[in-house]
Amino acid sequence: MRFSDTVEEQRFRAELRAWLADAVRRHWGDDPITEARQDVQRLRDWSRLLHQAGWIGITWPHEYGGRGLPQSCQNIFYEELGRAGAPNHINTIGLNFVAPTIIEWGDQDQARRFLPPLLSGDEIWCQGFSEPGAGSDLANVRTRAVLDGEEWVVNGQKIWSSFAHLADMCILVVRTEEDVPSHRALTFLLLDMRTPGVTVRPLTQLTGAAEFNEVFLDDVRIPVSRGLGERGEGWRVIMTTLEHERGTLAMELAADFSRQLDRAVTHLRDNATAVPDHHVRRGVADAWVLVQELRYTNYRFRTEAGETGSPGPKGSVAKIAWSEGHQRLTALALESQGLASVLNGASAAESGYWQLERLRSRGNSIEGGTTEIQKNIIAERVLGLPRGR
Amino acid sequence: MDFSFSDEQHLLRKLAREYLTDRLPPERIGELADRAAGRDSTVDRELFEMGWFGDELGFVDLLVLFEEAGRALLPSAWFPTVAVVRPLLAASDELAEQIRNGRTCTLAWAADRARSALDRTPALPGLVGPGLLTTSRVLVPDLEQADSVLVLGLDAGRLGGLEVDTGAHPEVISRCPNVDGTRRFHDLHTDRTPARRVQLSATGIESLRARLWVALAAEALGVAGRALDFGIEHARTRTQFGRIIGTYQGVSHRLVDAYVRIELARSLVYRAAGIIEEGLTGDPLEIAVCSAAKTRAAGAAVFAAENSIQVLGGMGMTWEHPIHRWLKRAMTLNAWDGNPDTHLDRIGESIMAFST
Repeated sequence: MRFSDTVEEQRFRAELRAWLADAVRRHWGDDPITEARQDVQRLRDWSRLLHQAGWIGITWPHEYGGRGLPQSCQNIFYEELGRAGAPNHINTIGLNFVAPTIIEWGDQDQARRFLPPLLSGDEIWCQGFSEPGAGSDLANVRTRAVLDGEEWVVNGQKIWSSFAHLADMCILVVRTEEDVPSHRALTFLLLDMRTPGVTVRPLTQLTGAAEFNEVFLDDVRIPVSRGLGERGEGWRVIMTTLEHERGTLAMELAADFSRQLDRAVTHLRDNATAVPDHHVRRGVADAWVLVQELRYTNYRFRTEAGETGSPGPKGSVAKIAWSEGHQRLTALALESQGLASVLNGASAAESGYWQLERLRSRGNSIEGGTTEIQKNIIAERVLGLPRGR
Repeated sequence: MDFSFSDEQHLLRKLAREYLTDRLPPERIGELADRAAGRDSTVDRELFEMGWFGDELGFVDLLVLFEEAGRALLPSAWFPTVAVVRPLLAASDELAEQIRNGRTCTLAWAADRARSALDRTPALPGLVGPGLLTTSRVLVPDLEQADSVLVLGLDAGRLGGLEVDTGAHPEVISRCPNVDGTRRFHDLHTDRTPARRVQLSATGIESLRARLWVALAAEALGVAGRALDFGIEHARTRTQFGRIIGTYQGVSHRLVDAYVRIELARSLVYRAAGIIEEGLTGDPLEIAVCSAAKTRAAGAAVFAAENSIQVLGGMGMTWEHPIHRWLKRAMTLNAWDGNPDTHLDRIGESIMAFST
């Protein structure tokens, strides 16, 4: 066991920390996270800045524009980003889910075409997996694609597509085969969102913001060369995407949670009047302990999986714990405001930051695979309990 | 960060698991727990022969053994001997040498049941005449199983210790009924009993506590893992309403909840073991990690045992089914040196102070 940074890691961390200290001060105001939410162009510029300075795709192979650094440096990147209170690159879906899937399943042409603009943030990606009738039961996808010469003609509807209103590209799962089980009936396609027949309609969330969307597909034509994996192989490609969703994302969530805790501690110290002190102390301790648990669990699973491996089904542990812990923390921060917590926006403390966070965190145990689905995954694939379905 | 164990540590775990599975199956644990004296002295001797008393073992090596010992509910004073007594001793003291040769020695610190935390350790009593000790200590772990006891006390602001040979003077042990028969706490009353002043190292209370917490946490991980396995085994095989009950989410998600808590706690415990092995540097957050490891691992053990009992249904509530032994050990670990609220309060205070 070794718990301190190696010389290489130390150098990486020091260099990154110094760069962030300077860049955050020059690019952002007092509240970078809120500013990034409110101003997409500013976040795009920040993303390009991160890329130009060489902080994006650091673990990728050199041939795809990466730096070939060990996975631990990716974790350090998230830790330092959280420490600096800086927003992450706008292309979260592209970097965390799409890129690893393209690297594993794509051919050379696809990698060369899609990876560089994904890294720079010039092309933002979204995910076209869920449908009104296929949420947790993803295999039930009904969006259909029919072959017409060298093109797929796609008809159907996708939902809960985060960033689709900003996205240039989409990873799309469609049904191409009839009369075979679903895990052999799906095909994975890369869709250019500017293709005729694509309509994006933002869905307003209970927070009032519109982060995700419905995507309607009417006779959308996608070249066969934009398939990832073979025809009918889509389910296996999806599995790659979802494993990365559980693995890489966990590091980002831990770092994000740490930043949120720092902010909550400041808020609670200045404002905690409506709840007893010991309640605050224990709530803060609970969150701090969870930050440590998530951080060390990510490192431990990474160690156990080997340098390049993904944590596999165990990765769901972090997602479950983070979502519930984040919900508890935001609830504590808001409850500490007492009756004034009913106010919102400019009339509320910190311009309503905790009102928004409290409500937004409700989605944490739903997005990216509900807690119930994550538990099913662990029950079946880790504990070896029989399948319920 | 690298959380991997060395090949030697993997082997250590494998041998410990094999030995304990063979020598202390649940039926045997039940017999020992229900007997008047819960000691199996042949096991202590065999542990010695396997090198468990060797002082070349680092704390991460011990972590592996604590975890396996907890898994089997090993009833032995080996735990207090290597977890807390040995680090207190000066290398030159004869007890250190005796422990290397397999002697077990437990620790007596509390004078008052209401003040049982290590940081409430009272003054060291004086010896009268030719090294005779008259004192009372309460809640001494594994007292009747140990060869001797180290009475701890403050002496001019520093820790001091007196060793009483309980093997030669068993009359000093005042037996108390315990919830957990595999780790019992008894009272100690000496009355002009021979005692020896022990040379201690410079270890202070804070680092002793941190070490105890992580040792308890490691043991709790083992307890938790085995307790969960009882539930999983049952959920895989038991049929009701024509289906294996593990297919019901009401059942499977309970077990997953326990698994999640155990795995999160495991990461903390391993990290904390590294802190103890490398030595505390005075950073208050290191103490907080050790404290968190203890409270989360012991909490996970109680939670896992309770959920497994729920999954086992009526069978889980019987004396016959062994799961209650694991619940009781978990409750003991949870209560030892600070319950969860005490730990969380302290951590919360230091985090609120640290961030200013």
